[in-house]
Amino acid sequence: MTEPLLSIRDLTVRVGKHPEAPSILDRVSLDLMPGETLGLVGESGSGKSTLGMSVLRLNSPRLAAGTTGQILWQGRDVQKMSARQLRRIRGEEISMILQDPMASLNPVQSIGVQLREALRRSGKRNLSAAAEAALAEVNIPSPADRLRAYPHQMSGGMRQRIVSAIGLAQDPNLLICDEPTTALDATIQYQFLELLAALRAAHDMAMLFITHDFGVVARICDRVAVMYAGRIVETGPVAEIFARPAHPYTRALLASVPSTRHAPRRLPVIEGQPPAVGNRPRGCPFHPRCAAATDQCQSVPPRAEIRPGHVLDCWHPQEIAHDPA
Amino acid sequence: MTPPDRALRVVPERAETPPRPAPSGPPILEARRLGRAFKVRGGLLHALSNVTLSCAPGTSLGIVGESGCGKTTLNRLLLALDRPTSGEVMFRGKPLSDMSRAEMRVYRRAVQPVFQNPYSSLSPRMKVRRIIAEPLSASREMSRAGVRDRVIEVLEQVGLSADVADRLPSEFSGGQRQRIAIARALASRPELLLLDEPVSSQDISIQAQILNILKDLQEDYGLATLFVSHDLATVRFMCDEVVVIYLGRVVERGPAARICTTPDHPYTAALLAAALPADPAAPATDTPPMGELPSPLSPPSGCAYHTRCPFAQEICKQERPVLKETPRGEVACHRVSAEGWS
Amino acid sequence: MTRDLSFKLALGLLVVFVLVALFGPYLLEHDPLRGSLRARLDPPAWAEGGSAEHLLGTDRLGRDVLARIVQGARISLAVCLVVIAIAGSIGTALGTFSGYVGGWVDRVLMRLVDLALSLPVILLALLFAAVVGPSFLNIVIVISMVLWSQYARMSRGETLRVKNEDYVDLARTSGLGHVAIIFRHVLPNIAPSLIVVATLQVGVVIVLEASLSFLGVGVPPPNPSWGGMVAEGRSYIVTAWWVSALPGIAIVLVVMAVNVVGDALTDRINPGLRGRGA
Ligand SMILES: Nc1ncnc2c1ncn2[C@@H]1O[C@H](COP(=O)(O)OP(=O)(O)OP(=O)(O)O)[C@@H](O)[C@H]1O
Ligand SMILES: Nc1ncnc2c1ncn2[C@@H]1O[C@H](COP(=O)(O)OP(=O)(O)OP(=O)(O)O)[C@@H](O)[C@H]1O
Ligand code: SF4
Ligand code: SF4
Ligand SMILES: [Mg+2]
Ligand SMILES: [Mg+2]
Repeated sequence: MTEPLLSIRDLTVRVGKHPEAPSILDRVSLDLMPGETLGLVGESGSGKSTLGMSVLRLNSPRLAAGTTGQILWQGRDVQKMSARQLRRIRGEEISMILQDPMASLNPVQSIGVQLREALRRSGKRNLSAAAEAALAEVNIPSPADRLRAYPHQMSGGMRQRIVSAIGLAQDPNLLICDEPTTALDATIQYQFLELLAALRAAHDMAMLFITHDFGVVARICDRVAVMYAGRIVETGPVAEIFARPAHPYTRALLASVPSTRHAPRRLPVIEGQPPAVGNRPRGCPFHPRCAAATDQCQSVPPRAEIRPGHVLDCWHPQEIAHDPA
Repeated sequence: MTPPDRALRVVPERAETPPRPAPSGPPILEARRLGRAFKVRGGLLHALSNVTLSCAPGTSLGIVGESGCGKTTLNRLLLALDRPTSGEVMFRGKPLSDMSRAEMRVYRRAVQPVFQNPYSSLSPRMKVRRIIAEPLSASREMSRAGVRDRVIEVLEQVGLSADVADRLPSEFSGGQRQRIAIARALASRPELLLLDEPVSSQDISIQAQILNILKDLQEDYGLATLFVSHDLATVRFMCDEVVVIYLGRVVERGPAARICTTPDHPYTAALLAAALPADPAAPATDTPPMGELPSPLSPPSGCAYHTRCPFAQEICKQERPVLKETPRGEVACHRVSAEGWS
Repeated sequence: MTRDLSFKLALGLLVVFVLVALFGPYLLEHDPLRGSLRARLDPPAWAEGGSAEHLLGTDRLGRDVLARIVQGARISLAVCLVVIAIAGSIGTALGTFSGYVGGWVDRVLMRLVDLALSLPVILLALLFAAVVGPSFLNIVIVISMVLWSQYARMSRGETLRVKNEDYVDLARTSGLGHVAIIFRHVLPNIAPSLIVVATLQVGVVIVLEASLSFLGVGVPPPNPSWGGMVAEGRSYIVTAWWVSALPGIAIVLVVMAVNVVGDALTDRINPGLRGRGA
């Protein structure tokens, strides 16, 4: 069996060093194989971005201080890397497309300057032409003129694509994308996903794809991990999770997807509120909102592999097939 | 006489939203032949041209279009954050450019926005309480205690607990921040909300919650909304009427249910076709028409969509189609007439 | 780990510097201005011929070097504080205004900034001293005339960044005026970067003040200033090295400490991608 490219073991991220501090991530483990695309979906605030940023140690110092567990990149522990090793990995091996495009763009530098800098760092030649090509690749019209524009002169979706262009410019082995398509319309999203698929095929790039769009997951991911309240509650191959979601949270999530085909008066929602970080329930964190909950659910649910590769943490896995609307 | 088959293949609707009481009263906000061109290196960039629309009390208008087509620009013009280079924005029948300070204050209270990016919408060094209270304290019409209660009230309306009021934005995830932004917009009891992709950064269950909240506000208080989105499904759920924009111009307008099932304009049809079904087993959508994306810096001649349109003819390259009325709404396409497709 | 340690050491040193400047003069028995002719050029206590009476020795007029260094710290600190207050408020006001308003105002002000940055400080000070004579005020004015531009530049850049954030637009749609926006949204969000500039400038001011005093156009004698002391002692550098070397070491230590602390603050406040909480 091949070695996983990225292997996360019992990653816990607390808000600060104190062992009793509230945890944003709670013993998260996952493996990512070369060339594989793992979709990370789940509740807003469940820690998806925190997980993605942990891999490159981009979390704020407070969270970094409260990080325990292992993140192995090709067998090397990211937590123990020196600043120099880390910089090399960030520049050449792993790229991250951040959720907030403005956080990775400098508002007082033109797009061209920033893109050329990224290309230079990854050892490209003929920077101007490469920068133009990179913009064209993510479907920015008139790339030559746009290189001279500043971030505030671009639309939200264009910024997102520019950040993607910068991330892709480095030909990474692993691309962590944090909701890269949320601001894109369907046709451009479609093209962007095609581009990612092509890059993945061309040099075996692995992806950790954070999104809440199940359409995107269905299109591009090989496996999905569903997060709730800082834990991965269910993982499995995409087809399996869509056809037979077994965790009550996954099922409820899939049921809330709106559709162009009909407009119900109300969208189905999960009753209650997602728990705040400092206030997560004991046992199964979903139990106050779960329709299938029993007294047993007050204690930590067991992890079970109900079918090959389909793993979940739940006392009462649901077995009835899900009917996609 | 046959519509494009892409439009035909769409499954007919199952359930329908009960018709809402007819919009009452004169429009709150109107755009009249609105245009905005930016001076940039490389020439003039026509971000928006000749857009006319109106928001009446109790109605919900959807604005759909691709990334960079001018949706945010339109929103900023309607919010008086930017001045049009042509046309006019009218508030209760009066042009914004003619309004006095007192009238502007009324307008500011009545029209509230929610922006696309929940990260830059909240000042990083202000507590949530002050952020939400800002529109209230700026108008200085409420007592301190009144403001305090209102903050808690709106937080609860968007499903956040009162204790978040004393925290800083950096402690919240994207979805939570967006709810804070919505709470802030609701604080001054506006008549019209201008929502610029307000839910695209949230998980679908929270999206559903927020959309339901917004729909309640529409139905219970007659809150009018202008809903910018690139997602037809959300627009279908939220809006009565939809305006489709392509490269700064209105290309189609009509009832939401109709646009989302049997669109007339080939671009609208492409948008529908490119929507990804949340089902890996679903047959792969055949590739929607892609082609070269046009640039607003050098818009194509004639119909701006002709570079990507599978139905383009010679005339499409030469003449810009005008927006014409049909029994189904309005559409700007040479191949659609009042009778249907040709 | 080592970075953390050097940060702590540097911070400790700065705290000592400030405490010495504030309280030092009250704790020492020797008068920094008055010497005794019997004790001229006494070496420091640990050197041959030194005594515990003058721990760091005496200068050519028999004044206690330790007392003068302590008094010099006070003068350096005073110059720093006054310069940073003057340059900081002028620079920040102009920079913020320039960035917020934009257009031709911005272009004109930025020209001015470039001009200020290219001013030859030393020449200017010499000129000034020639016209009005060396004085504390003179040195503060000359240094401020050059240094305000750094605040202007930083606050303009930061204002440009903040100005385009959505929360500023939202404040406008709430009916807040421009002045209120500048005070409530812009200044609090650019303050951290300005604090970094100020910290890093402490070092620059100390060096400038020392250089000017060294050239005799700074703090006028007999007031001890570190730069002046180095200058006075330089003719005895072979026979009585301590007179100029010790204040020189003080300058180097404080400037290095300031830079270490400033860098650490930059890392903490402007960590690039980090810390946006996403
Ligand atoms: N620096 C911090 N201090 C305290 N809490 C934090 C900090 N950073 C993040 N959090 C909390 O951690 C949780 C996880 O945040 P994260 O951004 O990872 O969520 P997410 O899953 O990416 O959500 P979304 O889909 O909305 O982007 C949130 O509840 C947030 O409030
Ligand atoms: N201040 C500006 N200066 C120059 N060009 C601008 C400016 N603001 C917007 N534009 C341009 O106007 C066009 C429309 O941008 P807008 O932000 O309105 O798009 P949008 O429809 O909101 O797109 P998205 O869905 O990606 O947010 C884009 O081509 C953009 O580059
Ligand atoms: S463990 Fe219990 S509460 Fe948790 S998801 Fe399963 S059934 Fe629901
Ligand atoms: S006018 Fe022509 S090019 Fe434009 S949408 Fe209609 S058919 Fe296509
Ligand atoms: Mg996130
Ligand atoms: Mg936009």
